[in-house]
Amino acid sequence: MPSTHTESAPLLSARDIRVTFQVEGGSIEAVRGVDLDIRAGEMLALVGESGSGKSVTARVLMGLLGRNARVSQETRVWLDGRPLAIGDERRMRTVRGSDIAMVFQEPISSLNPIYRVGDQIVEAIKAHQRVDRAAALARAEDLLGQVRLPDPVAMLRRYPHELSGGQRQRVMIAMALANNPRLLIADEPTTALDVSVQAEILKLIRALQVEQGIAVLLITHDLTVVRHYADRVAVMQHGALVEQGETAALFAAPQHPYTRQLLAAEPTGFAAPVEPGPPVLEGRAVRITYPGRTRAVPVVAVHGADIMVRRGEAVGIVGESGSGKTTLALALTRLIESTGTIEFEGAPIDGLDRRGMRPLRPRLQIVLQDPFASLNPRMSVRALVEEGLIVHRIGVDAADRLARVRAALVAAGLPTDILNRFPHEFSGGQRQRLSIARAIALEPDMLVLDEPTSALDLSVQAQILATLKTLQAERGLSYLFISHDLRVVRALCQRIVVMRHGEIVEAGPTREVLERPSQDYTARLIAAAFEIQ
Amino acid sequence: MSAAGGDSYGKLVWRRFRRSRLGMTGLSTLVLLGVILLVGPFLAPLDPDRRFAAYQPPSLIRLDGQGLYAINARPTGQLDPVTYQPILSREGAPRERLGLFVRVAPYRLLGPLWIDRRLIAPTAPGGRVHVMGADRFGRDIFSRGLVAARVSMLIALAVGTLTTLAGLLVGATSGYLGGATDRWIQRVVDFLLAFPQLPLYLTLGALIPVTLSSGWFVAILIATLSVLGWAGLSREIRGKTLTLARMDYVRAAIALGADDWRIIVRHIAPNLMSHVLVRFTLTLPAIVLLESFLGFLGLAVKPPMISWGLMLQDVSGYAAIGSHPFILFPVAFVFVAVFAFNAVGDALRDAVDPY
Repeated sequence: MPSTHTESAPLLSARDIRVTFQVEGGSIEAVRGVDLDIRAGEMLALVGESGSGKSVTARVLMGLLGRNARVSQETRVWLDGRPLAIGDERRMRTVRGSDIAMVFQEPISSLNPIYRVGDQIVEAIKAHQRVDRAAALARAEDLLGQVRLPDPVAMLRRYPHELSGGQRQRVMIAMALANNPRLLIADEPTTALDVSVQAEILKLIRALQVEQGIAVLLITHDLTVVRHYADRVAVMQHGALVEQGETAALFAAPQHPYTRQLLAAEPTGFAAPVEPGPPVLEGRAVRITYPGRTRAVPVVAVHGADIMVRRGEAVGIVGESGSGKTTLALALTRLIESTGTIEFEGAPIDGLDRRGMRPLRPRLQIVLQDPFASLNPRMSVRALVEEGLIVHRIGVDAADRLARVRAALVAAGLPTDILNRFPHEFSGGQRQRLSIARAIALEPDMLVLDEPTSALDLSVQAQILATLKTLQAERGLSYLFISHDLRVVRALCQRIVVMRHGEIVEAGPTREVLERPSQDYTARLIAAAFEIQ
Repeated sequence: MSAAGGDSYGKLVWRRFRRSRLGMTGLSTLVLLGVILLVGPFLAPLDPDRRFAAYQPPSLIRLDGQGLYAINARPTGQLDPVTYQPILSREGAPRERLGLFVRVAPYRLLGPLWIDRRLIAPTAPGGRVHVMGADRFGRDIFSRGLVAARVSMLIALAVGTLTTLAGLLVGATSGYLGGATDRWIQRVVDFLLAFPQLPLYLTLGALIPVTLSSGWFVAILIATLSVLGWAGLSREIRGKTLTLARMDYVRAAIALGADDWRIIVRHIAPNLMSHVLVRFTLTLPAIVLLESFLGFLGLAVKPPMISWGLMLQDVSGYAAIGSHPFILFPVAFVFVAVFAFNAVGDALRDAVDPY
């Protein structure tokens, strides 16, 4: 580390960051007086739930806020002791991408699909350095090597669509490093990636930070990531900094109640064992194909899966994206066509069409993955939750149905005064609860949940898991729970099914699978989820 | 939480619409157009069929101590040495007094309703005032334009409604059912979209007998425009339906056990409505324009019916425009109507989809 940077003089200092957003009918204070210090060569993690203002804070440092944002006149930022003109777009342009660089959440939309990887890195270099193309290309090749991409020369000539998500994120990191930044801001750099890839990217960022002495501001909601990679942690809530400190100290003895609540919300432990009942939902040799792009070969999404859920138990399906988890769940609930046998409470349902399935629907419910797409935006909360009751003529009259709607909302942890509101007024977590309320209003025996907590903050996730456990205990409800997060599955499910490339590669009791995985693939997933440095 | 609070969707749209100045201007113009449709003849200063001297230029309208008056041009008795047209002048012309609620010969206002007053008209019997001049038969262009709004807007509303309904029905069916049905319907749509419309209109103009009554002519015009017009909208609706039918909330409804009818009525149609409403407002001006354009080509309603298209037939003679440019004034009516609908349509489009 250069001797000019000492403990007393941080690389970046920000005082009194305040940002307000002008919105319809007023303004919202997104950040209210945040002070930050980042020392050279350290990794500072900024954690908090969605809407806490952590991304906005980082964007202030980059001068990347939208037109409707106002940064307070009181806000002061110093880089290396020199004040940063955060309001001056022209001067910030020389800092952005040069002294301070940023890696974004979504590597797919951050790269321009019509340019080769090499050209995009060269452009980033030439924006700040007066070098010719040959030198810039040589530098790009060097950078791709630094981010551990195999065969950098070939990589330069590739287009973004030829790269995997993890490779794209490595390219983004290479671009961020192009002009030897002093500070790298990584905003949820692994959220869009598979678990096993996440760990590699974070290790890479950590290694580069140590090798090149860069300071890193890591924005994340994932506390496991923070615990393993960050030097210091700053916790934000409602636009204010509630606590900061050395990572180990903060995790050992959190001071602020919010930090404690956040730490307690991490899913831990194993699910309580249950008395296994008769099979509720069972699939044998379930095979799902999609017509291929050319007529010749159909794409096989799931090859002959065998799966069973017993009454009162929760079975988790885990695996990377594209492994066929969702497809299998949709087939088991007869929402897409499949071959093989599917039995619900002992009776085959695989031959039934939509009309034939209708009498069984109230007992076999599903909560779909995307809480934003699965609620009709033109229907009120009451209409949404009531729909299944109307379809199946459940309840003697409107008053009875209303009582059931209220009961379902309460069971899903929602207030009952929201009956006349519309989905767009709710957050992701609240919408997911609405989906759950819609499913449990029918009092099903079997509930399939497709990534019900993946879009949610930790504390909301904890609440939903608690709700599910209560329903399981009170009503003997069975779950088929799809998730890429092994910690959540461990906390909720008695048994685990591991999927890869459309096949079930491993299945068994949760503890057994997690402690003695028989497949390398499973072991990798476990390592990525519970990794200890 | 959003600033919208617990408002309904309609209220939300209205609030966003109100913020658009252009949309509000368009909306006020539409209200004015509605008034013209209802009581157009009452607002007209003269009987739209009454003949005065041909090609009278617009009158000057002024205010003095005794109220409004008009100064009309009158022949000087001299002829233009080149064109042999009488030379007109306002020099020394008398003041034509205008009054409010002037009693005139009874005329039909709307349906069975006859009245004998006009809002503003010359007080002297046989007096004249031409706000926009007079056409080649000496009929007052302004009065005719106000009355013609009815037929033009009737055609536009009828064609707009028919094409929207047909497009919605066919498009939603095609998109929701998919498969072979969808393929066949789309080939018909392709055929209609590829159809060369201009030659058809010209042929129709030649085929329709001159003796055909105006009522029949309007019916044929509406039918032709509707048959040719629904294809474009149906293609859009089909695309939207294809997307909507694959939305997770439709899948969620299937998982709840809802049948096709419920899914179309409760889940797909409401989400199409905003698009259809916007398309409807934007279709109307296109048809108003088309009607005026067809009139220009000679395919217009027959007198005594008046439409903006019919009025623009006169404009097809270049010589007439050169000497009497004011006969282009019917364009102003078309322009105002088209502007109003387009402005409202645009503002509505911005307002209905805030998310």
